[in-house]
Amino acid sequence: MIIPADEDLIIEAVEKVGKSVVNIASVRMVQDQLFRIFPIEGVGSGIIIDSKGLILTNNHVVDKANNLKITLKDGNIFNGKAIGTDEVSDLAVVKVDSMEALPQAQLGNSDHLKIGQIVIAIGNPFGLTGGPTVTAGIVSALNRSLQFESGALELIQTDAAINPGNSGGPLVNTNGEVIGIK
Amino acid sequence: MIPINEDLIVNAVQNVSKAVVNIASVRLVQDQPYRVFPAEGVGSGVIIDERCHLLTNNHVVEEARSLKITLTDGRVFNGIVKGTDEATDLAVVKLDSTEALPFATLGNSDNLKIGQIVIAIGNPFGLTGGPTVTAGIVSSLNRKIQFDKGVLELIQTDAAINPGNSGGPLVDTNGQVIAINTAKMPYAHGIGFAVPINIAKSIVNDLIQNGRIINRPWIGIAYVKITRQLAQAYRLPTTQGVLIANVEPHSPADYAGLRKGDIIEAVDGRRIDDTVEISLNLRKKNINDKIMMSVNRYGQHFEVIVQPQNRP
Repeated sequence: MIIPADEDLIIEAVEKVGKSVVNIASVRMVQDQLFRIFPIEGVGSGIIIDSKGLILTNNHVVDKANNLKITLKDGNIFNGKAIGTDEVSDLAVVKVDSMEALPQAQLGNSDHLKIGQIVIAIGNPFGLTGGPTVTAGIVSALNRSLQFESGALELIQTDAAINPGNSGGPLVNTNGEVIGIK
Repeated sequence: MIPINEDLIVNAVQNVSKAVVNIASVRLVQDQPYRVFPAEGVGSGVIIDERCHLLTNNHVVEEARSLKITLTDGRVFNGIVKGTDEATDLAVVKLDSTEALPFATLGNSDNLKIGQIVIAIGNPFGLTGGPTVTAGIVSSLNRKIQFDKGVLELIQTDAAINPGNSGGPLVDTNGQVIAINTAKMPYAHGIGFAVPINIAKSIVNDLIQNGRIINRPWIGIAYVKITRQLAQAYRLPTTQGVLIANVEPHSPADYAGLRKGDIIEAVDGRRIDDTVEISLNLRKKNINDKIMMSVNRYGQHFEVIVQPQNRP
């Protein structure tokens, strides 16, 4: 089947960065009014930025988690620990202990982004099993200021479909380089 | 959406949209206290051959007393359900027509790649003048989704799929049908699912001739993909292949000598690495065909021949 040139860009970008996208399952212990303690599970995504086992994700994915379970695309599972978090930028770095080198993603330069440029979101919305979800769209706006409780963030706006669970996963350009964290 | 190479999308749509139809179905439903009234349903479909057969979702035509099919040029026909299959949520309908009708070309869903552009075409409400077209990419392949009637392996896309285009085609940039639009994830944005066309191709003749599937090859094993964790936990002899978790008693796998704990490393001589390759290979076979499986049982390698039977 002949796939026209532009489609190839998306397909190749996905193939290049796909193995570096991880699923992050977090467990937090919460206490209710009756002082019962029970675990709440959360699900989000992340991206391997260092082959020695460092993963970038959103702070809100790992916030107050007692336990993190990181699943790679090939199905291998690791325990992880958040080693650094920043509420203001909503980013966090997670460390996993791995014997082998993990597939690391290439980071791009978000200062060079242009409105209208094609971007691809990869993540695990709704915890769908069997592989990540890939959606595409364009850069809708740059430096969009949004107010959160922790402060104002300047964000990249995109129309690529992003759903609960995508959080923490990468936004990549057509070269397969990470230019944003959702 | 994505403004890449618009011509491609425009041409692909023009080729196939004449074959996309609207299906209006009437079912009789019964409420309390036993009043019966007609409920109308709406969906889409796509004509697939020169004998006026069209493909749609089973849930679009299920229990329908009558079907009214409208083409994009405004022509209306009655339709008769020829065959339905709950397990794949597909159905074949024959249009009551003496004229030749435009039909779509079916593609090959096994060749799909994640990131590829796909276009959903539907015809909700029988709006004349043209179908409704939405575009997106392939978000994931072989996504297993649990429905009440069982598990379906579906193509996931961010092309907008909604109740109106259910049953209509998902096409590639060559204008070939590569799936039938089936469902969307509720409360989500940009998560839609479609049944791969190769599944439809393997059952269409059965549906037309017999009204239902009578040749669904089945071997009777439950299996999981082997990962490093699994191999360590169960002290498996290898980290590649598929591990048999259960063998149904008196199934073809049972008679062939397969046992729980066996690792399937290759099917018909081809190494396999993922569970989807088993269902893919099985789908291509007929009942009583021979499938050769290369097995690794605690380090011992041997081959078995399994002959699929009809799924009970």
